[in-house]
Amino acid sequence: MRRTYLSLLALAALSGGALAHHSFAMFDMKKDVTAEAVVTDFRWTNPHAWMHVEITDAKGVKTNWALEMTSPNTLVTHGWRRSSFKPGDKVTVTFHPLVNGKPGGALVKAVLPDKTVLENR
Amino acid sequence: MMRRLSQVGFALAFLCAAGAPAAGQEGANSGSAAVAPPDKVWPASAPIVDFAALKSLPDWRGLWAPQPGRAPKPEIPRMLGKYKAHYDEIQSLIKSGNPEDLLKTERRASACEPPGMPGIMTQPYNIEFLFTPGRVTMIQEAYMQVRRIFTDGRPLPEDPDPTYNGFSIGHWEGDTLVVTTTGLREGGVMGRWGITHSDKVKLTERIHLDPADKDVLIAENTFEDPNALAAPWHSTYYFKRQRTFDQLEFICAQNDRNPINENGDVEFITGDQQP
Repeated sequence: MRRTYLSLLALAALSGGALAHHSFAMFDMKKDVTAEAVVTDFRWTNPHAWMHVEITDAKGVKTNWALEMTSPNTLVTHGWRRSSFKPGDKVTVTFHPLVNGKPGGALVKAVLPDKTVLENR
Repeated sequence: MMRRLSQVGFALAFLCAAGAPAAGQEGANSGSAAVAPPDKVWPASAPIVDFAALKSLPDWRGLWAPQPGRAPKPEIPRMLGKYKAHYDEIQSLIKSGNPEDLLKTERRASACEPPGMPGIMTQPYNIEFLFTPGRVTMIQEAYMQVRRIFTDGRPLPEDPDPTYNGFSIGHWEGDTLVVTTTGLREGGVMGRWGITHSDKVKLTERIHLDPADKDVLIAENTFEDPNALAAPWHSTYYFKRQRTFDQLEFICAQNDRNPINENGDVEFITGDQQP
């Protein structure tokens, strides 16, 4: 499943017509960051749904990360709901970070404490 | 000045209320550019309608999901003049693979600006078709875009205002909908980054179900453009039928956190702007 996702993204990067809102060029698509996090906000909106999470680094510094997803229109077909997350929920996120180094990225997947996997597709 | 403006405003109000050309302040019939609205009623809006004609049309119900991986790679377009220069520039940016360069391939004022034809056909969202007598209506889930394809015999307009989706007329050749579109905006994108058209582009689509699989829809495109193309350029789109979903609302302005800056680059607002 993951392979399909990445190949679709690669295709999207080459084919302007396959994009809706913006390209993925702003994200480092070759880099996956995985971290345990706490949800601070979850926006079930268009053109993208967003998850804000607080991640604590090895030095104990807390940073709020903005993680962009596709849209509710697409996410509902992969198990997401507007109620999937609420502030305070624990989650393990994997994302492609912004190239510019700011605390944001494109979510790849969110893993719940019960091991349920929600993919951003 | 205010007086003039208020008089113009009054004249506009009079025009709207009366539905007739307003008299100018110098006197009736002097210098008014108002023209009578069209009086021709085309069959799609005629008072008498034949719904039975719909029974002979193919079954295109359901949502159609784009299948970009299934379409053959489009041929290299033979482009002209400034359109070729733009194509070459964008292609070199894409080939570089450099993220900074790739960001520069997007040339829109807003990420919420819909692509228009033919990009409306290839967004990563569903399309659906509605058949009514004398007309096919297509709805793209992304941005809730609508295409109107008139199949009631009306001609293409002679001097259309260029628009995002242009003006489309169509007819049925057996189970194939043949659509001709003109009136597209200068600089619109023909389906891949860097392949742009002029406002003289003419697009012919042949849209039909796959004879081998009635749940696959195929759109074969031929672009002709005396300003941008030395030869017709072809592309093909594939779609897969979905029956278990309906389209959902998509308001791009709801939470657009990807503004495009003065350099034309897409930004990413990390902070939550929502109330």
